[in-house]
Amino acid sequence: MSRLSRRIRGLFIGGLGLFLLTGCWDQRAIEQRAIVLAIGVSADHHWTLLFPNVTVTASSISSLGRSDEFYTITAKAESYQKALHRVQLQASREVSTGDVQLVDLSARLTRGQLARIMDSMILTGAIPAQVWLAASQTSPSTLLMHPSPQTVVPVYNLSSYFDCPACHAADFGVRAWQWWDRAVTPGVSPVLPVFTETQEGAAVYQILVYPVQGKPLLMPRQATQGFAYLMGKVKSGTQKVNCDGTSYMISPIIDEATSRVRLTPTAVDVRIVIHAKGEMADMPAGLLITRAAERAIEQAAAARLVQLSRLAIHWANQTHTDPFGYAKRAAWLDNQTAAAISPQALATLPIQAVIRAHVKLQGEGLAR
Amino acid sequence: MDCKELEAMAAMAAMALDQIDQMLPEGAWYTPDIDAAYAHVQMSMGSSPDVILRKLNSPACQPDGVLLGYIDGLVDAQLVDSSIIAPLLKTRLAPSTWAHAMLLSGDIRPRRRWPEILHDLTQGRTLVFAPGLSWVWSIGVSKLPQRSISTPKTEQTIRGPDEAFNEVIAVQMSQLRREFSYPGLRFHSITLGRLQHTAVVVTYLEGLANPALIQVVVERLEHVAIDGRATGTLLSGLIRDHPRSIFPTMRATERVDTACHELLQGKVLVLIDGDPFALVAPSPLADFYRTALDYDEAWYDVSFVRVLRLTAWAVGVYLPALYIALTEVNTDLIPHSLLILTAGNHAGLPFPPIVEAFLMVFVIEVLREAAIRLPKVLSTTIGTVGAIIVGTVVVKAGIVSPQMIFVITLTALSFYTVPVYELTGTWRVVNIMMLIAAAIVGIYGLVLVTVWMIGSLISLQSFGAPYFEPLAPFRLSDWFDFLIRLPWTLMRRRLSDARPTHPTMMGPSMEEPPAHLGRGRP
Repeated sequence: MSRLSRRIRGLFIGGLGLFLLTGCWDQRAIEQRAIVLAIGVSADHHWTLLFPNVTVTASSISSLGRSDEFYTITAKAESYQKALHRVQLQASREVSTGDVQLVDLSARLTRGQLARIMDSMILTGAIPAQVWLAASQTSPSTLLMHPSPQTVVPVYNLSSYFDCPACHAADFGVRAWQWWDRAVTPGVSPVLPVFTETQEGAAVYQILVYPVQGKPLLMPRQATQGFAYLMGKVKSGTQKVNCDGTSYMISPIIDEATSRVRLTPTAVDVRIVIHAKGEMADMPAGLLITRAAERAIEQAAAARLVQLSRLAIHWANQTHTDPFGYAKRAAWLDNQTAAAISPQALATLPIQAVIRAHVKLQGEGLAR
Repeated sequence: MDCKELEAMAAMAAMALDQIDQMLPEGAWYTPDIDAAYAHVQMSMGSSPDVILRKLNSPACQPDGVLLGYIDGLVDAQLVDSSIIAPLLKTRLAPSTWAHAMLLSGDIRPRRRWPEILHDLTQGRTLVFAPGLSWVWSIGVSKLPQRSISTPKTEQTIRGPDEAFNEVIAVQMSQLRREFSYPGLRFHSITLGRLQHTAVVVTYLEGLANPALIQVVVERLEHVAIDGRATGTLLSGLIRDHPRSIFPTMRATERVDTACHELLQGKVLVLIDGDPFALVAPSPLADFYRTALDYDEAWYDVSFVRVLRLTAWAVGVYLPALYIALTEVNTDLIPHSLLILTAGNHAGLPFPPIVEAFLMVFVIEVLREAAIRLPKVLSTTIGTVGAIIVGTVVVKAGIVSPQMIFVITLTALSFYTVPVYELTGTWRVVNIMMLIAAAIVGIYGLVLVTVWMIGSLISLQSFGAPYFEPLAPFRLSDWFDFLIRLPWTLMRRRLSDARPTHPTMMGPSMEEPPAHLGRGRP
């Protein structure tokens, strides 16, 4: 065989290998795919997959009715893989989960059930790790199709809710990898935001905390506010403050929280400092704000933040949970003490918190 | 009689001449016999009506007279009458002195061998045979039909000189002479073609162009063995490096100012008789993206346009393939909103995106070809009709999605930002390769073709210059006239690709610059 023939044969085999070993052969073209935007899982293992209308184009958006923008396919299955298989049987296109943006889970699913669902989703490898996770107390299939006047297909309103953290009072968004990370780490109780259906679509006012054992616990609204301040998640908060018998509104509030933790054999000691800033959004007409009055309002607001934060700590102690992850941090800093505490018990340790808050009024905003 | 007929006649004459030349023994000498010469020319040229052989009764050559021969249409008849025939009818001087004392022409050569004599005849020269004279006077009074000097058709600008070469090599040389007025401008003539003789002139600036480069160009031209029809494309395909590569390693220009610019960079031009395009050696890839306008506009505007050209190149080569990869294979990489809209646009269409892409490429190429072939008035109509068909009917008929129209239209427009036409075809081929690879293995296919393309570009050379410089090898000094073009005050060095003997083109910087160029002035 001549050198040229050998070279051509080598190039042919090499080129063929490069093409055959790509792993792209099971890919389907865009017109053969059913794009899944959201997945809902009910407590009785009904899996609901949400798809956009296949005829959505830029020119047809305005003519589509609210109920025509999306459609769902539901299947009852014990696992994610079986659910996908059964949904696939009902679909005329290949079900594509590479663009899932939200997984909505029933608030009645336990931490263990949720962990199994997440593990199976991760094992398929087809769902993006940055998908948003949320919980709902109503049926996920109903929530997924709950219309919103604020968005239009191809944007999905429930996922876009979390895409704009600064648009809401607090950023409660939890991505799949974050939940999975907290679920497998001792010393922290994973949380999920809970969607509540509203006329404008859906909103998050509370969070669901997953203890080590048992059903998830719904944190009360005020404690949820305190949780947001403690975790530095407040992006556009609002607080009504009473000072010397006068009512003031501070908004928008943005906070940062720093904490120092220490692990003892019986508790987690935490010193928390909350730094918040905001503007005076509302005050009585004609009232002249002096520097002294401003300081008094700041102190009143700080006291309110401390109060809310204590509520959150108190609720965590009552429920033997640690949604803040203080125990995890403390254990990491003092692994000798942590070695004496079982991983399961770490997140149930009582939290002894000393909380300070500083509020800085940056002006009077529109109230002037 | 038009130019083509004359060319055909000249070709026929040259062919016959060569046949005679082959029949004659080596060194077939002319013998001073008028009647024999008459018979010889008639036998050699056949009974062509344009070959004029006329006996004149000159007082200097009694009683035989002289024989005058020329080809009608290739000579200036008035000049023949006034400068040759009229003096011949009066003169009594000896024929051997006619060149100095009688004939009124500046270009007179003695010819002694029949092949030379007949060659001169076909070149439009007038022959004078005198009895007893052992040579023939060959007089240059030709007046070849030629197109007037016009504006460039393929390299247009909006500012600066706008003069193109024409087909006549003497005019091409005179255009360069006029531009330079510099004695160092050298023309090295080579005649190519066994049957159709074509004058090819290697042009360079003595003392600036690298002697090795000149030698290489001349040697390669001297090794060209063809029958005829030596055009720029043919010669470029025969003398350039890597003649089978899809990347052109020799550039052609029809602009006189571009040719002058290339000469000033130390490059060598090849002028070809009958082709208004001069070949440039060496021509690295970056050279194909330098236009005449780049040196006639402000540096910041030129730099912006060059970056725009690079972007357009990327769009032209990659956009359709990227669209196919993202819709056929790697759909997960598209932002979900765009994915939903794209899927919606494809709902109900009979063909997959790859078929749509090839269909649209075919439509665009057909339109382009039709626009080139048809007269200008009709080509405008075809363009308008094509745009309507492509823009509306194809979409409404449900054959192609609107996004594909956008992608292919942008791609077609991007291709035409390539300043030199021959490179457009190259990128079209690369684009098709990208499309096929993307349809089969998606983004990975794009990477594969890109690796092949870069590997090819790095391995190519153009007359000793790396084809992909200044990128690879990295030459910082050439970057000053690559993606950006620096202001003239900073561009003191020539490009290094031609390896000129003097690297600087603006002399040393002044120790005390004038006020307007002084330190601190922008």
